[in-house]
Amino acid sequence: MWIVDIFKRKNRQHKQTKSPKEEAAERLETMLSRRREIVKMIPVEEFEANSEEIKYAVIETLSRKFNIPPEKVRVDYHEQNGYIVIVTNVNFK
Amino acid sequence: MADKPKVFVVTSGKGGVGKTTFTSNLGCTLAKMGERVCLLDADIGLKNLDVVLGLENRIIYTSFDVVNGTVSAKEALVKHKQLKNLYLLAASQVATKEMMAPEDMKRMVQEIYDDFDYILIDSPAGIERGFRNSVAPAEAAFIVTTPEIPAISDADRVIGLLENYGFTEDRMFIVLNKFKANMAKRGDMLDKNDVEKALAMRLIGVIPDSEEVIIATNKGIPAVLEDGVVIGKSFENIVRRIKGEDVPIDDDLKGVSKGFISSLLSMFKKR
Repeated sequence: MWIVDIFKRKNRQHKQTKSPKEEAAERLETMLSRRREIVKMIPVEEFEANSEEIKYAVIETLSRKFNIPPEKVRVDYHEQNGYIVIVTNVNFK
Repeated sequence: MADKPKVFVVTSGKGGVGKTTFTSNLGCTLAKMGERVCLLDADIGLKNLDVVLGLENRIIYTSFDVVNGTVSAKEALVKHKQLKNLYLLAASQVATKEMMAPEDMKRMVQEIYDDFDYILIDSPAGIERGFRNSVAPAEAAFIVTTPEIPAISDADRVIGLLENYGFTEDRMFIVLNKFKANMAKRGDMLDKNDVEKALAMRLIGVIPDSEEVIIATNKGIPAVLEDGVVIGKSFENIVRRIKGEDVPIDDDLKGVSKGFISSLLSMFKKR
């Protein structure tokens, strides 16, 4: 039966369209490009000086992204280990 | 900050990529080339650099004693057994990372700054307090990654954090560790171009995956101190590159893929 197994394995290999390397490169690209779009680090001083503007910019971005009125987006923030954590709450109803 | 950086942090984000092994081998390579080198273990609570260097029985004082004011940083240094210009400032196993602040690290490095040509700080995994402590006194960073998605993804995150700490691109050096040339050749693994493309940065070196590292680590002797090890060339090239020499990255993998005859010969050599 081992000879049948060999053919089966060969068949499975043929069915794979992408190599593991191509697949990994594609996943990596998707992960990293998405992260670069979202993550933005704001120095504490800059945040303290412009917190209301930043809060409004977050509301505006989310309301545009999800196509909802700005009143449905709530933004809160707090400091944690030296970083500013912005928490957003979107009401889709 | 000096024109050429001399305080380097070795970081990665992800654990298990080989930061401590890289730090010890790079330190030994620099010391072999005649540089005065200090290795600083910043992985408080989970320290290993002393073990990799085979110095675990010689530790009397740690960085925690320096921060507490029990001894000076110079008094806490331990000299390497073979390389007389290589020193270790060990980390405490009983303290925690929270017991030290970035300012403490800066003061400690400042105290020994003029006595060394290179100071390498072995950072713990993660991006919390231990990472921030390690980065604080550094002038440049080695970001160690392996050719796997989680490691590259974490490296990307660390690059972003380092940028926020003010590190410019010319002060961040990506090291691709545990690279399996044969797998990459078969298309089963990401290769160095994929990593450069994903991180949008040039590599400073590629270190091939090697069994010699495991054997050497268990002996407490960094692999580059053994004769004829494959990774020795990669470390020499990395040193030449950080000193400003233009060494092609493909040089790091020369001699990695052995032919049938040389593989057979090396088997007999091992016996």
